[in-house]
Amino acid sequence: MSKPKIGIFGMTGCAGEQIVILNCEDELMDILKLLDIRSFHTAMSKNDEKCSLDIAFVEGALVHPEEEISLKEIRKRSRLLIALGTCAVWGGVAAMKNEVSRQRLKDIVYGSPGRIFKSIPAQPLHSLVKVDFSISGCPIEKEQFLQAVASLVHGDIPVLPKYAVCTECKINENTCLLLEKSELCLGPITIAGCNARCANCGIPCSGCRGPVEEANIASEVEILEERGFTLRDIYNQLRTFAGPAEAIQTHLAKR
Amino acid sequence: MSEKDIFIDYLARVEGETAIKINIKGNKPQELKLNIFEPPRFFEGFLVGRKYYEVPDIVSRICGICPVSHMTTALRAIEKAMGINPSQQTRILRRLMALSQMVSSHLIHLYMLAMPDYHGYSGAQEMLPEFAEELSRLMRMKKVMNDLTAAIGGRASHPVSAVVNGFTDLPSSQELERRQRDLEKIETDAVKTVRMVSEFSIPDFCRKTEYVALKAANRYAMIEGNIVSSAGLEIPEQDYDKYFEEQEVSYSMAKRARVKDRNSLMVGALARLNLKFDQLPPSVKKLAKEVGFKLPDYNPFHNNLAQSLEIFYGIQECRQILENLKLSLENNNYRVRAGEGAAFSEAPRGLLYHRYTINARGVIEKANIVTPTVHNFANIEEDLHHLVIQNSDLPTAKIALLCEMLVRAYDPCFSCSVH
Repeated sequence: MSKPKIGIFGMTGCAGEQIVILNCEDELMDILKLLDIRSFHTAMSKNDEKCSLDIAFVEGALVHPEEEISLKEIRKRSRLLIALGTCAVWGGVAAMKNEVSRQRLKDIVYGSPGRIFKSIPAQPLHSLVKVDFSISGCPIEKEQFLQAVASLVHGDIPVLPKYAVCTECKINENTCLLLEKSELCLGPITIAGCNARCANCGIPCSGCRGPVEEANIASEVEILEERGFTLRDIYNQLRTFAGPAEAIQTHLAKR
Repeated sequence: MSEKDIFIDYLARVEGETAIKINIKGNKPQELKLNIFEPPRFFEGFLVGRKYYEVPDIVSRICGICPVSHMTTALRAIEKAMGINPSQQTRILRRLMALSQMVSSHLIHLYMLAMPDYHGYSGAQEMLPEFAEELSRLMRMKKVMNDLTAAIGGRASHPVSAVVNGFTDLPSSQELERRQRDLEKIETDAVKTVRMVSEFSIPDFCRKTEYVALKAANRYAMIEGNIVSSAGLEIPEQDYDKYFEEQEVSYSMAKRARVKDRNSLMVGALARLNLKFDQLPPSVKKLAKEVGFKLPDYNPFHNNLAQSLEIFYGIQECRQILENLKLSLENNNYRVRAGEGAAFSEAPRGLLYHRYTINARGVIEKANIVTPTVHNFANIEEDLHHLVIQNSDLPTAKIALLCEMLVRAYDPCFSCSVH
């Protein structure tokens, strides 16, 4: 079997997923032998920008029109396109204030009268192209990435948990930060895979992995309101990592 | 007059997106631009209106390589704004995290981003199998350092347990012992790393500049200290805005920072070593001498060697801290107050600055972040200018490669620089 041709690409983000890949210390040498990496700008200077790819891993969100063009090109040349990390899957932190005009943000950051340059509200990859598989997380968990690579090189689509962080947290027998400590915890509506990393350290889930399928956002908001949180604080937290997610947008539109 | 054009449309083996554009007429660059085109995410914009305790978690997402630095610097700025003095234990744990992250970051840069240039390779995958031993060493060392960051922060990148005035969770003493034993195992690897980097054929280039770093009286400062420079600046961190300024650059998404009315400056490993060499332990000084590191060193390519020496130092320092560390649960309570706070840290790439204005309800009213690459921006362009003049006789491709290597030697982070 010939080695699968791989590309690792970044839209706008912190390069955190690429770092997680490099942090697979026990496996990286094997991965390098197993895959034919054709494009990985952060780690290689000779990149093939044209060849067809078996798998494209793409991290980061779309915040610039040029990125839309390059993502479409990546899609065209790739058999499978995998969204890596919360920015790619849900829009990530850059999308937390998508309702604020870009000009206003430019004025705050670059000073009045403001710079003129192109910028679009941050969007996840699937808003523009077909995404074959998503691995969320801010950052992704390296085990999920490795599992996914193992499945993909064998021609299978990986299987990731479909339940919420809340379930992992209960299995770990943590004190419930939401119900017992009245903290702003998004564990019940956030997709599992981190083994409740934050709650294990006594930190409420900030929703960095994005919403679980069929997340009951209304019920989560109601529980938080009962505990004295303002809608402003709740919505801010909901939108911190996955603002553009349909479940969140639908809920916000109703209120 | 002969004319040469250098255009690198997307510089590889650095973090983030930048282009280099140089037009040379005769032996002089007529136009020289480091065009940092990484688009902004507007962190300073969307932090406004958020609660102070959300800030560290959010700003750690500025960078996947130095999240500890952004998180810790934000925590300290918020604490200063509210008049909170964190415990000795909290300060030590933050120092450990900063050191372990610095070593990991330097390792990735030296082995994966810088080293291929010195052996004529495109990247790590091409370097296998010839450099399998070196790459295995990299993996071994990086794992130990990432495990240490994760033991304290709950996760190596974007840590979770560091909060205002302390940590929500502490590693067990057994865990700390394991981390200490692991550190012992990689000390020889660190020495090999320094020797390996010292054998790179570093371009002969020298340009005097102003080095700036954080300095404290009794230790090699990573988090707390005064801002000092090789041109005699010495100011407390809250006075930064009085002495420094940020300027917009028409062709770049990142700004440039400099000391008001002065030329460009350099921050990072080489600046730290130049300014704080006397505070390093004898073993590091001895190794530095053995590999020919001499003060003052004005060759920016030697930032690589300085990073390798900091790897050796960082591992030793972490081990020493762990040897005497006894942790106990502390009361992290504090009162929310309005205020303005500024803080610095030495991120792996150099001085990082966060400043926040917080109102009485704990809501952020203003945020400002100045990153190491913003501090280095003007200096990189100055160095490129002189490097081009010095090498203008060479073929265009060779000059271009030298320019790429110079920018990489700074280990820039363009995502950070734009944020």
